[in-house]
Amino acid sequence: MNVFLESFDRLGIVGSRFREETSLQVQAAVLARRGRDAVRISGSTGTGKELIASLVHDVATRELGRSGELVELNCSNLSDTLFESSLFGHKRGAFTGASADQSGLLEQAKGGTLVLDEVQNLSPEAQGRLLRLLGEREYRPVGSTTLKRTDALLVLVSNLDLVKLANEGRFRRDLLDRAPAKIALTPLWQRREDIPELAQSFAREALGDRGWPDVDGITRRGLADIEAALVEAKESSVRRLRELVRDAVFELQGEPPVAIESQAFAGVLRSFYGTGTESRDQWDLQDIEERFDLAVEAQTVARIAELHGLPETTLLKLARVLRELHGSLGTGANAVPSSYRNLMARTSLATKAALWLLSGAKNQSEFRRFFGTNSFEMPPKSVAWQIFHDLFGPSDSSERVN
Amino acid sequence: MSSSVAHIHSETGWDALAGELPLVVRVMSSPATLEEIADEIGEPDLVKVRRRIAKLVREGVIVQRDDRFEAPARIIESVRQEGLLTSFGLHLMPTVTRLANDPGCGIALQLDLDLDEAAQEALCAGWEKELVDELNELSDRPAPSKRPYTLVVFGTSDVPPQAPPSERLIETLKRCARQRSGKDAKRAMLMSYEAHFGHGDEAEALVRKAAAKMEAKGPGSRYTLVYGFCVNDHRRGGGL
Repeated sequence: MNVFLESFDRLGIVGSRFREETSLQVQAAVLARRGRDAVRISGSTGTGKELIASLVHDVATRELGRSGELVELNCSNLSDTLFESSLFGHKRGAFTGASADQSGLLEQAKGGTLVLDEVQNLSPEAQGRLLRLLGEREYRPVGSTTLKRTDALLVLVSNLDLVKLANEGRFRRDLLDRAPAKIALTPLWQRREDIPELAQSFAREALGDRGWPDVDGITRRGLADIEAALVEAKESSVRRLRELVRDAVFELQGEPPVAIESQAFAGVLRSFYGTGTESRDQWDLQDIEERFDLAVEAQTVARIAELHGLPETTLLKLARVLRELHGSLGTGANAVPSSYRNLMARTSLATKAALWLLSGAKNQSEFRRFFGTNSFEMPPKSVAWQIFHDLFGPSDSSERVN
Repeated sequence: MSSSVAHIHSETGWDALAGELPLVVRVMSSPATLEEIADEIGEPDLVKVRRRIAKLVREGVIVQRDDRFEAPARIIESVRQEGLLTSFGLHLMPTVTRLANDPGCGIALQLDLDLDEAAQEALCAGWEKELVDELNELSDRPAPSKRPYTLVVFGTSDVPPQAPPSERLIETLKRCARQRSGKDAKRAMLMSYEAHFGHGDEAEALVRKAAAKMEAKGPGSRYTLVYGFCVNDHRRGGGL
């Protein structure tokens, strides 16, 4: 989606798969909802939650015509009183030391975006204070009798699974229900194709810092070693990858090399993950077992897409839908629960997939125009959007119909 | 050209070669000027082309003689310097999946052979040098226009069961990859060759002749070998 490209570049967001996944999710969670619903962003440490909060603000500013600023509040280590007064503001004399009226961060975020980071650390009482804000968009400054309204886009960020916390009684379910728009970030090792791109980008940054801008970056062998080691270690953090690459670059001795070869990473990988590059054959074998079929599928899809003039991503998504339907019908290890409702839902999805494929559309407008040029011939925008979202929106296995 | 085989074994050499394969194949077909190379690879900015060529010259993948660039040898031998699957994605899968999905685009000949272990190792060590020499000779022959072709030869002693040809082709490649990353690697045949031909049909005939010669060694079930040959449009660099 082109609307995101500028934001990705401006914010320095690297990784083809990460870009694709997040653009779809932000489209569904923010743009499609016109920024009216509170958004919750979840992902483990180092997956880029702050960056995606900035992306949400950036895209909402440009696409929804918002003009306010991005305001962030880290909810860790804040007493309930301080949290409430920081967020809502206070009236003079509301508490000891409140010598003057003070507006809160919500006022500052007017027309913009308010990000509440590490929201899982809020006490149940503080969570309760957010209910009216998220539900009615109203709040009361501490010590005030007057309700105020806000139009800020509200974003809750957490490195823990809030649904799980709610199930365990550690987070308010009703608060969760008031933030229905979800963005879930994939750990780094599960989007392994981004690892070489990120490593190369971090290497160029570090080489620039070291005054070696002409060095070619990391060799393919080096990139393959980093990718395999991070996948094996189930590394979720992009930040840690950056640290690893910078360590390797700054440990290089002597004259600037032509490129950073794999040997430069052997020691760093051992110190980070306890394994050097002696496992290459094993990594190769594992890679073949896990990804050979996917690689063949990618090549096949590329060929079909080329022949029919369709984007590869469209075909890959459609293939995923059909594979999941097949999984529902099967009995193998990947079979998903196949109740009548589940199968009906998946069959319906497959029908939509087939229809989209038949239309050859790259976006919703093209999909609508496939049926005709007059408005009475076209499916309504809302239907086209729903089909698009069903097919290309993020899959969330925890919320499947069972 | 100064020698018959150039050895490129460094990581940076591999990167230069793998990153610029169409350019290298073009120069191996016949010496060319900077402008001719730019024209061939569709890059109008000569500064960029010069920079790309400089990297190849630095690594010994091509050499400069006066104002022309040429290959240092008839054959470039290189040792893989990246992940096996990535390398497959770059050099083999585009051709093999194309042959599997669109059999009319070239030929895919799969032979089940009765080769003992020693013969399997000898086959892999020899990498079809005789066929490559014949193809090189044909490639050198003048022609009004030439097109790039790819030959892949791969084989494994982990013979897959009978199945529809396209499925068996892919399964054979997978088993070959698996064997290549294990202790029996030297019995997994893997070769990729690219050249420009003015007479694609004659090149195909040479591939068929080599396959027939191999088949004459006797059918069996101890080894399976695939010869794949088709036009290479170089539109995709492969990868995952």
